[in-house]
Amino acid sequence: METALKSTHRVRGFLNQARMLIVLIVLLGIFSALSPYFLNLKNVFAIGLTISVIGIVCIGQSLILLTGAFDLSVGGIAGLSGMIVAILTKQYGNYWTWFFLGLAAGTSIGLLNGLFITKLKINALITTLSMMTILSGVVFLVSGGFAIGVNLPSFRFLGTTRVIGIPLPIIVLVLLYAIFYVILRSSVFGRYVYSIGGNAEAARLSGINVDRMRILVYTLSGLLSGLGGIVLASRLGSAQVDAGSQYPINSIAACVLGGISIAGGEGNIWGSLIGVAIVGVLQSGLIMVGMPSYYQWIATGIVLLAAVYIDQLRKS
Amino acid sequence: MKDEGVVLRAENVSKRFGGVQALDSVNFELRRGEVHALVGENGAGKSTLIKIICGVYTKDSGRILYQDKEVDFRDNLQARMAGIGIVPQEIQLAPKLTVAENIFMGMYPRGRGGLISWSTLRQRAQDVARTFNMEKFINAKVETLGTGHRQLIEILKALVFETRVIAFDEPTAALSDEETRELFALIEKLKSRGISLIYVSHRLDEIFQIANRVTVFKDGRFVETRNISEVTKPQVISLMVGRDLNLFGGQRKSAAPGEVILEVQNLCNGRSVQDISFQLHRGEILGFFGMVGSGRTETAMTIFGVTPPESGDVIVRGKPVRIRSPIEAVRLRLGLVPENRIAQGVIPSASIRNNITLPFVERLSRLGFIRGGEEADVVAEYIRHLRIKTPSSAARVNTLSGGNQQKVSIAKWLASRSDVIIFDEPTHGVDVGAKAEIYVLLRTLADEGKAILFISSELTEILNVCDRIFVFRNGSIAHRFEENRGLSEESVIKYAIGTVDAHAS
Repeated sequence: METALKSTHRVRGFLNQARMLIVLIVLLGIFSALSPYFLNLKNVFAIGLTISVIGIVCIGQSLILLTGAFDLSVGGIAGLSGMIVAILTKQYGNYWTWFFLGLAAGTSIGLLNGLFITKLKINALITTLSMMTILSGVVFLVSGGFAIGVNLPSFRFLGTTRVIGIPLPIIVLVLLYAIFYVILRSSVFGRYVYSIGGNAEAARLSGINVDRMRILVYTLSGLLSGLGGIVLASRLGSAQVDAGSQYPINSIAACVLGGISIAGGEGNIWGSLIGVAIVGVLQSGLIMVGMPSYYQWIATGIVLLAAVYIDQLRKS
Repeated sequence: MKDEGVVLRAENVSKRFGGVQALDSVNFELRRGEVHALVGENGAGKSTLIKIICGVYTKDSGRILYQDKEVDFRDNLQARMAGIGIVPQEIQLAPKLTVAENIFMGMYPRGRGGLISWSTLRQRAQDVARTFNMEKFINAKVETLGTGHRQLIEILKALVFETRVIAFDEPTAALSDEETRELFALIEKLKSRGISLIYVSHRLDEIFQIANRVTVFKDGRFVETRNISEVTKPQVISLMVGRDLNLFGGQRKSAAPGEVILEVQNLCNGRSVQDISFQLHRGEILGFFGMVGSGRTETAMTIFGVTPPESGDVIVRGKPVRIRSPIEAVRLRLGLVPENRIAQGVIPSASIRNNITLPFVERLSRLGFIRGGEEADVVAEYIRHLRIKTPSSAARVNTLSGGNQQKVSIAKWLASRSDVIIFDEPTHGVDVGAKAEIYVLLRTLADEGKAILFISSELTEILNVCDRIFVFRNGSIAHRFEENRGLSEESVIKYAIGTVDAHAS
């Protein structure tokens, strides 16, 4: 009986993700019917590369959603980290030093988010929304409003290297998802993340250091967003001033689509990966069939609304 | 024989929710001017029946006769207009509005131009409130009133129309004993005006105090209706659960308690915790009795670090400690089973396993990763030990009954080997069978050498379970009963409500 019930739980979770996988396949089918180039290997890798950046950002967003909160600053952090690395590398060379500095910047901003939210008790939405706006401004300030291109092989290493034909960012993405899947599933940290999202007060009364865990997930989200931004700059060969402006909505849409509840405590990270793929395919598919880019935004907004609505239906 | 006249009769009423047969062809009869108690375990169908009578739910089949006419109310307002009111379990008032505005919610009197006529509203509210000396509260905002008064407002709402029947759903669940007594006085008044009352409650003492007749439901079926004067409490309980139950926790095994494990000296925290000192021994159950807000829960929360103390000392196992958060309390192997199970005690969306090991999962881990086999063993042991009814440790806690959820909330402290455990109203909202199990469990734990702090506003269970009883009033300990032998309810309650001076004895 024990195993029977356990497996029905698993089956239900699997069915949910299987459903999303079917949505993904249907989307692929539609777009490849509309555009003959859609499913060629080059384009698949192009989509994979786009997904890999937002996918890395989505890991952090998943952690935060699982604790029952949001991070709207992911795009700002990605933009700033990419910009810092680009400017400093262009000026002084020596890419890998600045690579780590860029990661440290993202991590510190995440830490700051966490401290504001737990120690100053500022609402998480407001904290991260403000941070997003501040960082967008800072990126303009340090770049002078222009994209910063860097023509060094080291700068382009992360974004353009291929291993047995597969782009490196895609490999990084899959590895990170595997690592965080194991962490969320079997580590004490993962258990606390789910517990806080399920009922923060009960977790606190059970002796969990809720504030410390919240700070930790925001710090991790900062680190991962920073990494995403740096990979993006490397892939494009330049840091854009508006890089990451759509990441908050895209990442939340992808995670919720993948089954992470906005109330926290439910869902898993494989779902987020499928969600990211759906959003990515939808967006590049719309471009491939010749729709102007702003249709992406309309589509993403609709997808997020639909995903949250489905989440509610599932609950009731 | 006018008093014997039947005002309301339910015949063969059935109701199904999804796969659950909530009511299976039940009968119920209410006479004019009687208090008719409706009892049964959780899920017996009591609330479902009164919600059908009051138009909140619609029945699947059967008949409801009200004043000899068949009725079928579409919604609660129809029922109210016909003279059937309900005082719901969860009080549903708008806190920012005044009492008058709440009483007439949904039917404000209109004046010229369709605008609300506030003067008429206040006047009519005054009239309704006068009967119960509530006039002075008419213009007060609901948020400024206590739970007891809020309940009165629900009753006033029911009295706006010419009311013949009022159904109460667990009315005393959130009331202190004093407020409960006020409510009972009010019920007597309603009775004397010829109003009939349906009274749903878990608390048998209350039923024996105020009801004329009692009807027992079990698993959605009608069991029996009896005159209250012709049954005893144990008989009603055995009708409810289908077997005999012992509500005594049992006596302490050894005559003398063990060493002092928790000592509190001059603990202060605002107005609700003033200069509290006491010692808690291994092997004993110490009861904290008092009204809601008397300082018992507040004292426990202060000790546990939820609201750290302003001053005073806490000594655990002989060592002075400073507990500034539950993190430190748990590290010192203190446990708290909080009052509000769903909001504080468990994580409803998480599995039984995750809930039980939450306080000590770090101890079950290596290099940050949980050792699954070891965890499964511990969890299985406590599911068995506490007889948690579940098909699997992977089942979510929100799929369990109230009593089993409470067992999960308790199990985590046993599994984490806490030896000082604070229970705050552990039997709130659990059925009588689970209640009896919890009492026995408390005694077993004490006999195993744990120290139990038992907080309750139900005097009966305090007297049935505890070795020593401290009575709280206005943030201090009003009286200490160093042994619980031959105490009457009156002798304890008088300290809680302050009819004797705390220092006189």
